[in-house]
Amino acid sequence: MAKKIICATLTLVLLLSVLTLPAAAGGGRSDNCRIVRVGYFDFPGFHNQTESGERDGYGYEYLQELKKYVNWKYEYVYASYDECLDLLAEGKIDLLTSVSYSEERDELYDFSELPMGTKSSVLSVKSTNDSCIAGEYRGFNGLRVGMLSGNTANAKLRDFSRAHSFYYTADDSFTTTDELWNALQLGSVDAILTSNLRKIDSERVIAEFAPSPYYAVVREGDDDLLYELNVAMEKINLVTPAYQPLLQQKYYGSDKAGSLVFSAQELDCIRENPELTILIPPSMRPMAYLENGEVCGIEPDLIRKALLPSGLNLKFVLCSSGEEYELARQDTAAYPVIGLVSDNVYAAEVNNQRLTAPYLTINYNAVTRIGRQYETPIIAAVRHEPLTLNYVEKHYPPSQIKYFDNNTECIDALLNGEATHVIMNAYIAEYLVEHDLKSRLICNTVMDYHAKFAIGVDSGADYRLFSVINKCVNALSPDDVRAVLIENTAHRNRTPSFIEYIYLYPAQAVAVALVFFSLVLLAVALATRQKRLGKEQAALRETAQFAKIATEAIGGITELNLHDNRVTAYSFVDKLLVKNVSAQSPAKLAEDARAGLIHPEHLAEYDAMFSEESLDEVAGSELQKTCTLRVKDASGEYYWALFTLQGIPEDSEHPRNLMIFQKNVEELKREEELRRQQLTDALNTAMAASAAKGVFMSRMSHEIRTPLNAVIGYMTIAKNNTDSIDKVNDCIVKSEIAGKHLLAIINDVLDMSSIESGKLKIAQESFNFKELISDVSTVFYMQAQEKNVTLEVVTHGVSEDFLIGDKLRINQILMNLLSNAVKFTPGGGRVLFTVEQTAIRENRVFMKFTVADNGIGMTSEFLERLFTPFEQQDASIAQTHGGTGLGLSITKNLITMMNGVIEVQSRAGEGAAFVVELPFLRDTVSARSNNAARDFSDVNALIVDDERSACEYMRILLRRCGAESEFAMSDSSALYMLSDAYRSERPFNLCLLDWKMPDADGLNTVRQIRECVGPDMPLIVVSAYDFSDMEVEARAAGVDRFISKPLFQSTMFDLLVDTCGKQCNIPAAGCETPSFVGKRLLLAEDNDMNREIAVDILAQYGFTVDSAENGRETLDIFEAAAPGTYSAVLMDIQMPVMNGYDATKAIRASSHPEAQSIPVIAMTANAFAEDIAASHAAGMNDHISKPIDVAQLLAVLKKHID
Amino acid sequence: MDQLLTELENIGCDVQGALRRFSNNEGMYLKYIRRFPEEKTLPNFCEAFTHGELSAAHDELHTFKGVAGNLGLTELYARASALLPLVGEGSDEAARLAKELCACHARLAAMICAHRA
Repeated sequence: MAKKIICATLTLVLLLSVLTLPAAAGGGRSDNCRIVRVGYFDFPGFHNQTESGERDGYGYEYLQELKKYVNWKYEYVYASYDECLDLLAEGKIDLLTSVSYSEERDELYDFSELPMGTKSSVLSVKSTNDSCIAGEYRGFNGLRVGMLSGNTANAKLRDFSRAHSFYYTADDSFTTTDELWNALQLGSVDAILTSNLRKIDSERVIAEFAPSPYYAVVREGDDDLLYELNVAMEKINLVTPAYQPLLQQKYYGSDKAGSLVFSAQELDCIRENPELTILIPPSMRPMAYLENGEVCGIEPDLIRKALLPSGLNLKFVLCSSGEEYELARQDTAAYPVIGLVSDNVYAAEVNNQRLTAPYLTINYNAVTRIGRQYETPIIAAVRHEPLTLNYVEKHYPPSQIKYFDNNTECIDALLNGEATHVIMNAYIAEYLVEHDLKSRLICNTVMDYHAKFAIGVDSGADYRLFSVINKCVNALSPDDVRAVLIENTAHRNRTPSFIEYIYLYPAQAVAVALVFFSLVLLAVALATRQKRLGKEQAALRETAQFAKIATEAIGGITELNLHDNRVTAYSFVDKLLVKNVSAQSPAKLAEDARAGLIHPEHLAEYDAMFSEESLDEVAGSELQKTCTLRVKDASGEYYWALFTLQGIPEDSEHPRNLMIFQKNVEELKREEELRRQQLTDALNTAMAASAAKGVFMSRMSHEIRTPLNAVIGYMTIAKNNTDSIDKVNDCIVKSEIAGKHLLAIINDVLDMSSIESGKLKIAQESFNFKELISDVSTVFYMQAQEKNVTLEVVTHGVSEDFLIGDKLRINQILMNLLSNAVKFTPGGGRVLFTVEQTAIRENRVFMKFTVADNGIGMTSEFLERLFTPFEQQDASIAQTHGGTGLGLSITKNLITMMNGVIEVQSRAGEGAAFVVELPFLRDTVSARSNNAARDFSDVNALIVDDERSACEYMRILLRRCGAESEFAMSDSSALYMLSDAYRSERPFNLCLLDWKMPDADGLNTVRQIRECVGPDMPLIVVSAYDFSDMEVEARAAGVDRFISKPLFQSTMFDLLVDTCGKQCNIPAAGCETPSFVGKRLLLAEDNDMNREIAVDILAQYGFTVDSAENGRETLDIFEAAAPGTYSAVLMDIQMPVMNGYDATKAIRASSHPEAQSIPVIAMTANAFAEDIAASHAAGMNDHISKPIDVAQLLAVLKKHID
Repeated sequence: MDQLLTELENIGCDVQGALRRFSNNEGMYLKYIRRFPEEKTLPNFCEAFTHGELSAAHDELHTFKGVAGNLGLTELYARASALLPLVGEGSDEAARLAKELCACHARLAAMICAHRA
């Protein structure tokens, strides 16, 4: 502190000494004042001179400022700047301002100690030039820059251009800035290089660089003047530290409007997002308000004006409350720009915003109420407002501040005396005062507080957007701002509102009000009178209306007046409401009704309800009584009617009244009855179903328990007899039988259950029908045979092999019928299973299955219950024959589901016949594909069967396949025909032999046939019997194959394909992989891996392979091998020692018995014609390619080996 | 399918064709594929070729072509086929193709070895 004081004191002393100093020697003097000749060059902004001779400018003003501290008088010497420099050097002037320092100049002149300002070089273009943008140096490339000859700035531009990597062409032929400016405006140069001391005009600055101080200079050695100059300049700095910037601002304050040019990026930003939404905090007139849905006021208008050059389409959102504003502010995506934020950099950082330059400065007014007396001021302040925080709370203690939500509330508080002052935005305050009709308010400017406002842009928003907005705000001129403020605050001639009139002309208003009130009173009086007159008529209308509605709804209404003994009845006659006032008393009427209208059964109820006591009781009270009776209608028919007695509470007009409502409820009664019946039926059904389920369950339990008991029983026996293996085996076998039975029952139950619950679905898939019949028959041939029952299977006219249906379920049906038939037919009996194709219509095939037996049959009583679940003729049947009793029930259900029918004919002891008819769809696709392109014309078959029909049937089947056949009906004729044909041109190449029973006779026949025709002809045994026991013996005798009867087309076809394969022209690819088991090959291949691969591949097809690594080795192995060892030689061509050609030649030339016959197959990677020719020339039989093509390899080997 | 075979297929080898050759016996095919890096034909070719023994080189290459073909190693097979008629000339073009063939072989061998590890 002490030091500061000393400094200040010293300075003061110095100053005083300077002030009192007389002008030193040198230069011209007059009246103790020094005459200073100053070089005055014409330089707009620095030295100006108007036409009237008035001067101003930075340099001029600075000269005047100097004069305040020294006793100088100026003589102005007009010359150009360069001339001035010369004049100074020559001593013709004393002082020159605005000289940059350089060493050469330092030799010629003495420089002031302090600079008188800072100048920088300025590169400017014509204001209409939009292609050069400040900061975008690429756009500077190729500029023709005009500059002053020999100017120090020229070198600075060169440095500047290097630093920013642009190039230009310099034209330094100019001597004055005027020449430069003219050249620029004429377009002979694109840009000019001047300094910022020149006032720019119709130009735009695109670069300002190399700031440097400039000085005032005196002639070298003019020490007196220099001393005074230094003192004066030092003093200016001390007294007015910001003198230079202020002067700079005054004369060179940027002409912003002309310099607003957007960069390419900024233009992109504007193009990409032409819409901009700006959030405006809640405010009032005239700052921001809504009018006709549009946001108006100073704030939006200023922003509009500022952003107008951007071309952005602006949309303002004005918040109605602080809460809304706070919420909206958070949504920076929707509102990246806030139109008015405090120019407070800290707040901006906290709110994550970028602030533009401030564009609006607001002063504040204190609003008070005129004439209000107060001791301590109470300030109404808006909570959280910057004004409140920054001003009110700093100037007033908390006890003197009352907080409100907004300015309106503050003003209200002021008006009702809660507060004495409101400090608010001056524009708003003035507006409120002006518009306070009662003129109660007055406002005064708060002198010590004002605030600046800027536009806040969210930091997360596009930077280019901020750049655009900020540029616009910077370019907003004070004139623009002023214009907007005037526009929004000017007093306008308004038409006063009604309320305003009252305040303006109170006496007239009172008079008008009095007249108006008189008129209103008159009108009310008239209306009241009119109303009273209408009331009675209205009441009558209402009663009638009520009666109408009630009568419509209820049917009949009667009003009894027991006081006057009067009866009024309302009823509908021909859709018209008729009111009938009876002269008779209520008692009499009730009596009449009782006699003629009431059903005799209901008289007691009627009496109870309509007795005099009852009516008395109800009348005049609020009681209600009801009863339902049958009454006669006009035609004499009884109907149900609901009567309701309703008392009317006693009053002066109705002392003892009651109403009788009569409603026809016949329809309701009937519906009720119907519903009751339905419920009863449903209950009965449910009970029956429940009972049935109960019976079913108990039966099921019994059915399941029986085999389960058996299983457990056998297990127990087995457990107790573990030492006897026979016993245990026996038990296991029996348990298995019982278990299977149990499984059958459960399967049936599941089937039944899924049928009943509708879960069982009938498949619609293609299946081989004949195969199915054949399979089913095979199963029962065996069972029947075991039981010594004859099973005959006969098919009639079955043309279709493939049908569409549910194979499994049909199988189930047939199995059930056949198993029943076999089961209930005793030994020696007979079962006939017939399959008949009854019709084909369009795509449908109708099949009829008959299963007839001569077994125990059924009684006619049982036939009726046949298809009911769990029905068997009697308990003993289940014990004897087993079965669940569910089978036929399931069968019938399945048939029904397939849209088929089942019928049964039976008599006890005479057997039964079940006939099932089922429809199927034809499967033409499968049928075609199965029979496709097979040619059996080479086949010539002999059929041997003692039944002519069977023979003919088989002939038909063969003919359909395209095969020839003949038949023989005895063994001897068969042998004769075979031997005869064997010697002919067309021998039999297939024999189908019927074999009744697997006995020795059959075997004998087979042996005789084989002796006759040799081993090649396929010999097929066709039989209805199980051949498993005889198979080995029969095959040994010469049988190639067994087929079960019945024989179908498909079976025959398959048989031909299998046994006469060579005759059928199926492509090789479809054939089974040929087997070469037992064949040995000799392989010549030099490469280990290729050799091993070949060996592995060949081994896959049954070959045994010996290999050699070269031709010589191959030859040696072949020669050493016994004849017949090798089936073929596979010969690689290119091998060391001896190649494939040479080896083959050597083989062919060898003395080996197979030297000529052994097939030699070349393996060559070069499948060119000459290679093949060479291989043939060497004696090779064939060739295969490398890498190995398996199909080709096998085909070639097959060709040469077979 | 084995991962190695999948990768071979991915780099364009005719794995399916080769598998057919081996009667769809994947194990057998893999056995040879895994042995392929040790197969001496191509190294022999390279040695012969670099020493100017062009006839021997031709024979080795011919054999190698067969091996590659059998194993469905399509790229090697194609390169070997392209080089084969030129080997005898000992031209620059042949040298270039040989170099590429060897590089291709090395890549494939490395890939197979990586799976063996």
